[in-house]
Amino acid sequence: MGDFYNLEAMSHFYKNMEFTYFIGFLFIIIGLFFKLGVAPFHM
Amino acid sequence: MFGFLFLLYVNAFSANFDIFYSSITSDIFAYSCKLIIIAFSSIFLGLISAFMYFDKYIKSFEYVFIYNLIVYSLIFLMGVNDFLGLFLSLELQSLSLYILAAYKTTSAYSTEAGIKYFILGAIASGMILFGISIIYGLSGSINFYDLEVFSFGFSLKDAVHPTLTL
Repeated sequence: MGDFYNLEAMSHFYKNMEFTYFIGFLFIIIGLFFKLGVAPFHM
Repeated sequence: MFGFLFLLYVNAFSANFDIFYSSITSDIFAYSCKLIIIAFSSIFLGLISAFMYFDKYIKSFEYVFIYNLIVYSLIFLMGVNDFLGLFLSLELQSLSLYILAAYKTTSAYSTEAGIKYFILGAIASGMILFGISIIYGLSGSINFYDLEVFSFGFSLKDAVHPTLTL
């Protein structure tokens, strides 16, 4: 795990890794909420 | 039917596997969820059939075929262990549901519902893929076990099934 990428070098792109990780999961949860919750109710 | 389900439940204690580099797993919990899905979808298919008897516009065999695709995607979703399988099973389920939403072609409401559901579902798919790409870019893996190690420093799999550790 993680051997493909040099996380130290990547920190130039992602200044705050924990926050970006949280944003990733937030997008997934919002997308699942839209797909399984909001979208069917707009039918 | 419930006796048959009980026999399948007893069989679940030998249903532990971990294949395709931990992309697809199964344990007693996943197996139980699959059995619950099969039982309730069978009951619901009976209710739909009773409804189809009165509605001549949706009385066709393709309806049951697409419904079975939804059930299969839910069963696949129970055993999946990475973001790729999660997204694939969700999309199979969504595409089948788009068809079922727009199934009654003689009704304008049904067609409108199908189009609305398709557009909102496509937006939601884009958001899910964007989040998955962020997490993959950070951690270098889409497997849930690897993401547990990346997030918490340990994996629950190591505590529950030490022999399954790759």
